[in-house]
Amino acid sequence: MQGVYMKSGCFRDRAGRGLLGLVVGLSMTATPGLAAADEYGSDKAARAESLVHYGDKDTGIPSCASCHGNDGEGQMAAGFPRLANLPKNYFKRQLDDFASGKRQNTMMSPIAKLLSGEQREALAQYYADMPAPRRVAGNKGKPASKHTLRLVHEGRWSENLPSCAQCHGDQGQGIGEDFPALTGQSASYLRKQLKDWKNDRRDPGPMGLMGNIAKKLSDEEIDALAEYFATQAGLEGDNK
Amino acid sequence: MSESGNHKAHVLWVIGLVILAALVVFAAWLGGGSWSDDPARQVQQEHPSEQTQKRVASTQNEDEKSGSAEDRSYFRPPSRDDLPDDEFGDLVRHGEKVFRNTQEYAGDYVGNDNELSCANCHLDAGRKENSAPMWAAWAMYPKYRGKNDKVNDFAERIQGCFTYSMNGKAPPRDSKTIQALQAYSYWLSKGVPTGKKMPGGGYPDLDKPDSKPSYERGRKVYAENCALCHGDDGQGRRAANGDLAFPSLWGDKSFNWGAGMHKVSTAAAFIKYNMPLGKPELSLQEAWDVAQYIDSHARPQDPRFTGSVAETQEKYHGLPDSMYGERVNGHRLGESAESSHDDKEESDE
Repeated sequence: MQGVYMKSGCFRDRAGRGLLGLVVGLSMTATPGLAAADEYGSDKAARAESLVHYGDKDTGIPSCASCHGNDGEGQMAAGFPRLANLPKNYFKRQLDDFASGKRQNTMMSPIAKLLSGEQREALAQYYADMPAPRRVAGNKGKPASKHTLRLVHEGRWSENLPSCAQCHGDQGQGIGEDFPALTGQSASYLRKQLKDWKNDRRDPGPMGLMGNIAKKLSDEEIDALAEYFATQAGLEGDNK
Repeated sequence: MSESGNHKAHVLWVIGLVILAALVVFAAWLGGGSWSDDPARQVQQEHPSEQTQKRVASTQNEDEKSGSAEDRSYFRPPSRDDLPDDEFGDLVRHGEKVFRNTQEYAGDYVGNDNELSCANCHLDAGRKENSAPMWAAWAMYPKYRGKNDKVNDFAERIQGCFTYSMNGKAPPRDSKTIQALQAYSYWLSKGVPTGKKMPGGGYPDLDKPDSKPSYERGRKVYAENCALCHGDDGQGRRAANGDLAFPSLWGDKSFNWGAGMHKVSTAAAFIKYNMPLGKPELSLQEAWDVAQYIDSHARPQDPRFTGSVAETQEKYHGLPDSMYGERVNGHRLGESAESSHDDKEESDE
């Protein structure tokens, strides 16, 4: 998979990559056409769409769709997350965090560093406007245990652990701009995020909420919760 | 010769005793004796695997199975699994539904705009300590209340919640709503002695802060710790299906000026022990400041309103605990049931 975004050879050279990023950044802020385009939302959307489907050959930014799918549905098997219909705030923050190093990922960190602030914003808007993917058929898991369902709907208050549903909605459909949908994500992706939070490998997010929560879950509970939400039906337009 | 023989015998004795002691320790360990009273260690031991958890659950109710040493000193209500599958169980289950989603299951008694549920202030559906749990309340009634200057039984107490916190009207005593909420509270209280004041009951008495609670400081605390869920404008947030996910804290959709939570001391205690949800780490001063801020916003009129804000303030309210009748941001609180325009100006949206 590395090849996907390493087509241009200079990616392997860290200094070269930094220099490239700088040049890209400067050229973008210095191009009057781009600044003017800010006022035209549709132009912005068109350029986001172009990035999504074709990437940017000049800067070496691969197309988002090559990993996250044409409809932003992600790739379950590879653990690439669903992006379609994620809230804009949340999405933008993730790209910013990948770029700043607050969130680490071998695939996404270098890509996010190549994206300008404007591009990150435009992509966040683009994916927020996309309809949520329909549930992938044949993804039925075994029924969740009573213990897991309690964590989902009631939490474990003896440890001040709120339920998942409290902030992500009754069906994991997400709430508002800061609590993303969990449905439509693969178990492997969800599991990795919870484990990364638990082990301080991902920024704990606003108010440190998710770090605090993941640390209260056992690895077995993380597995079961990831499995549970991965097999919930993603609802069409679930963030609207 | 006899000397060296004695010496050898001594050495053998010592070795023998050491082996014996080791055997005793080993046997005790095999027997499952715990060598640690450290609760944290016991908690760790309780989480090793799903199988172990199931085993624990079969002998002990699941709600009890973990928590810090402090938690263990609080009463633990029975597990839902223990609810009988009969008419009584059904009524209790209905009570929990009303408790969690009051608008849906008891909408007739909830104010038109009000979107709160019992569980918004009584966390974990009335189970959580220091959040006015039902198991600590049930056995304390009938009880005299200054608020209406008479002895109230439990049904009247619940009726008060509907009148004030839910900004609605009191369900009749024989309504299914009251019957179910009583059954639910009774069941949660199984084993609590009648009339016994339980640790973790009500909202705790909070120490006074070092500095007088400040609206301005509270506003900052709010922005940093509350707005994520309750919104910049205090109006909460909704899930995709339209259900309120996080309750509104002021304005038409929230509790009215007669509800207990409008008192700064009550809100401060709730916040200090429970907010932000799952991470109650605000300082004493921050809890008081943000309570002052939240309770300095417009909300529905006090049902005891006499027709005059000044008179109602005189009769039922007063500083420092109630901001009713005070002037905040150019608006006299209590003067209009509508949301203050100041709220909108404050919003960053």
